[in-house]
Amino acid sequence: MGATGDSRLRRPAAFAAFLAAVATALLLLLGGGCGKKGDGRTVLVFWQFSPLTAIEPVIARFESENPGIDVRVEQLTWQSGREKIVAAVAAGRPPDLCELGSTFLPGLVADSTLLDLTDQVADLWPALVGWETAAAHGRAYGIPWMLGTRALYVNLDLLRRAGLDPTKPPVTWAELLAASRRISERVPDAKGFGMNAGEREILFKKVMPFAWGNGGDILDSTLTKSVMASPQNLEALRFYLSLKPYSLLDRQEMHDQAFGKGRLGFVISGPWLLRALPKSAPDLKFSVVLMPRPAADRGTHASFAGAEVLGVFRGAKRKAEAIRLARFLVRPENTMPVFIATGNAFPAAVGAEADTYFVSHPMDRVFLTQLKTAVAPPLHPRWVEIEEIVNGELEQAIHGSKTPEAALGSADARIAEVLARRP
Amino acid sequence: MRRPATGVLPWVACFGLFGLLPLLAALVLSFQAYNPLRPDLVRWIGLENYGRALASPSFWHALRTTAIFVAGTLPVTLTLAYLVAGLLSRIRRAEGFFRAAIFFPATLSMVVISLVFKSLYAEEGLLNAWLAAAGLGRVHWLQDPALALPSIMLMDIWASAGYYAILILAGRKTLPREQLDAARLEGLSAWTVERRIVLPHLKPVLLFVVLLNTIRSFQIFIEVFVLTRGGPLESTLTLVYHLYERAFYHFEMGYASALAYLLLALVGIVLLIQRRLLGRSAAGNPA
Amino acid sequence: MSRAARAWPYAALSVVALVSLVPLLYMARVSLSPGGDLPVAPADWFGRPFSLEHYRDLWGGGPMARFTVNSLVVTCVAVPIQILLAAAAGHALARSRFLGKGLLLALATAFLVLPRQVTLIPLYLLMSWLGLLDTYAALILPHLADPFGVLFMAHYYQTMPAELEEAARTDGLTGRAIFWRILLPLSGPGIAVVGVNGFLTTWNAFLHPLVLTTSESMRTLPVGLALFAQSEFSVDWGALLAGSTVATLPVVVAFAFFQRQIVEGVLQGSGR
Repeated sequence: MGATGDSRLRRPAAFAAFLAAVATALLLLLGGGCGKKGDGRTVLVFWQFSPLTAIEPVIARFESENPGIDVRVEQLTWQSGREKIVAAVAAGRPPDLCELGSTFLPGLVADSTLLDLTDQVADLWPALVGWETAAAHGRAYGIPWMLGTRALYVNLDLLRRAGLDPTKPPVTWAELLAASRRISERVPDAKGFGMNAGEREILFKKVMPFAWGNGGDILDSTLTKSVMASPQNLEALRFYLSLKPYSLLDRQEMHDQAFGKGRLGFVISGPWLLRALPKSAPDLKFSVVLMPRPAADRGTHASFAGAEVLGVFRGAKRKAEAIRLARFLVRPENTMPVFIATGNAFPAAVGAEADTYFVSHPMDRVFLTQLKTAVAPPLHPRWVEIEEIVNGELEQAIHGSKTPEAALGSADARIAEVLARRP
Repeated sequence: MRRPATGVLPWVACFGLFGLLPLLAALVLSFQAYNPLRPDLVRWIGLENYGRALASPSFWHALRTTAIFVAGTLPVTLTLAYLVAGLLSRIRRAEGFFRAAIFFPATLSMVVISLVFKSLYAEEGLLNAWLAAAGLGRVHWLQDPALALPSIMLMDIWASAGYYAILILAGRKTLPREQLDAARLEGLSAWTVERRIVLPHLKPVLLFVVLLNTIRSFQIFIEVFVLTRGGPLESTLTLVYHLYERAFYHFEMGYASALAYLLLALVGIVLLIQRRLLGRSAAGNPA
Repeated sequence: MSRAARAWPYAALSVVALVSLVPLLYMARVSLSPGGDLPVAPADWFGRPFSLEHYRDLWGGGPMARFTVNSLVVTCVAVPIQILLAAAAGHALARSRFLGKGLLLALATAFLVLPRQVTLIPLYLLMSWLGLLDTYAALILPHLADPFGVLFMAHYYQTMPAELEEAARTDGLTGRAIFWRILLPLSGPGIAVVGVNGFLTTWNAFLHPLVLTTSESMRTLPVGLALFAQSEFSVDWGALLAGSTVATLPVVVAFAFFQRQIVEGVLQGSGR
């Protein structure tokens, strides 16, 4: 057997074939991609995060109602959607309508990248919930499309095995602490509470709800002063840390898994877990309840509120059509199918809870009720830095390298510094 | 000996357009305040980005973390790769199987490897399950600030040693058999043969492996992005991750470019030192 | 050599191979289990049922085939061109002296060092300006600039004695003929390395294909998989690992193919 390698390149026929392949490739290069030429219709570019199978039926309905518009939908990845959006805006080719997470919004609003939609959507104000996630100083920079929150998942079986009444899941902080402790101490191989560690970027979403429920907050109502070092925050943080000995310290998805395996009594999680549990743990007896309040007679069942917002970039070519599509999408009958397909965030439309879906899915209803007392982070221009500071200090407090007082005090000072900086 | 070097032109054309241009653009950006969301507001600020970086504690922290990573992985990866290549060259049968098995980790994208190790390293993950079965305690691979970086280093060594082993093996295969046979006839011990004949022959490949591994270690990003996001307590905040946060979370692309060029300067210095210590690399020698 | 002395490399290599393969076996096992979470306890490995549901889901959705085709097109066009460019340029760098050689090497190395995040936006702007966004060109051209192959072949040719080329030259062969007929055939192992590396880099590329393409029909496999298996808060491990296994198979095939080239190249070389 000769060396097939070099004889292939030697024979002129084979070499010519190779050249032909390269030539074809070059042709492909020049004409590659599917060129959708608009045949007189307006092409609207819409970027969003749900799978195409979920959104396409909705888009098809929009197109039939608006025959002159052709919508090009694209699905973004959660991992790297940010880079894609930033690159497109930088090159002056943003999508016309874009789904944006509420954590991404503050930077965009601060840099005036999104259109002020207040006047065009004034009639939608009463129809949608969650405007605080998309509005700053009374001006709307996006339209809330879907809202997400977190609630407390309870493993009823573990409650029973720990000698507690499974029909009475914890409602107050003290009850949560007591139950977590009993589960950790009485049930082998199980822990009471899922405490997030190793995920600095979401810590404020897990800890601040306790502070919010206690009347504390990060910034005051005028958004000009830090109130991190308040006694309410301190009490909340101290309570949170008291759960630590009875907790599993790991990342959220590991909590979700441990809960599914029946090794965790309580976990703060979102609606996605409701979709996953029937598949991964069909025999698990669990329930979803509101976040606990400080005591029976004070505080609220506060939780974190996040939103998927529809925004129009300044550089968008088809602004009017984009707003028209947004209006169509936020109608509850159009948002529900997307919600049902992805299961993550609920329609922001007022009255969405009346949908028959929630009759047959009572645990989803709990999330809707939770949304009523959920708090969204403010759309402050320096929010990204503030969030970083809060997360960093909370992490140190949870790790034990700082006392709660020191952590909150340090956060307070650093945030004050950020706020004092001139733009 | 002067010979026309026209062969270099086709690649230079591609590189010039799609490599150099973005490179230079990034350099220009490093002297500007550039928010990619507002390209219309870009303005020239000279060395301000560089000054800010050098004065920033986060920058030095990220630099230190990255340096620890490189210093920790490079010698281990290189040694393992060399040993494995040596082993592979000594066997007669099943070489293809062993080569494939050892090379396998390199065929996976770093994203996938990181995801798999994420589950291996979890508190209730596979490794801890094995430790528990062996009666040992749990290790907080990614939650303990002292262990997170070493865990990532271990993963990186696993992922890359095999690849370098194959590179070195390719180099070993070009050694003419006659030299080895002659040495054996002279009765030289295996160790002497290794030292006097194989090592010098492999020098260019080894230097290349060191070069490559150094460059790639300084650049680690995906591992941190998937596993720890720079935590816990910023113990895994590498330079490129820090740069990424600045670019895409704070929208400071100019500052990020300055950080990138500072990284470049640093790696350049490291490579020059390596060259001086380990001898000139092949491509530096005129024919 | 005694039996033991001959056996120990095999034993050592078996350990190494095992360490290399265990995470991969784990990955395969998860991809073949039903549901989305991870088997942890050793008993789980065998106790759990086997299921092809993730693989079925993968191919049930239409786009996966298109993503695979795109990845194949990009890789099969880019890699041979990369090899030729690398061999030609590497040889020139190894054998010739020319103006700007040092600078070129420095720039090539600099490009390898500079993190891709900062060249991403300039590259995007360039492609946008050239009108190449969302085309195969945008996916292929950046790979051709990759200096790795060139730098490696330069090192590789340094280890190759120049006598054969000299002899051919005195025999009157032109540079081009020497390149095609003598040099390339002898470059087996080097080309294999560049080929495999090129294949891997091109096949697994994620960030650039993600950003430089917008329509679903132009997606490559890694990007498609990322969309398929992940939602905002949870990872469907079974689906993701099944997808990764499928994405890895062509790489395995390519490696097996290039392995043969190594062997043949070596036989060729030793037959001199």
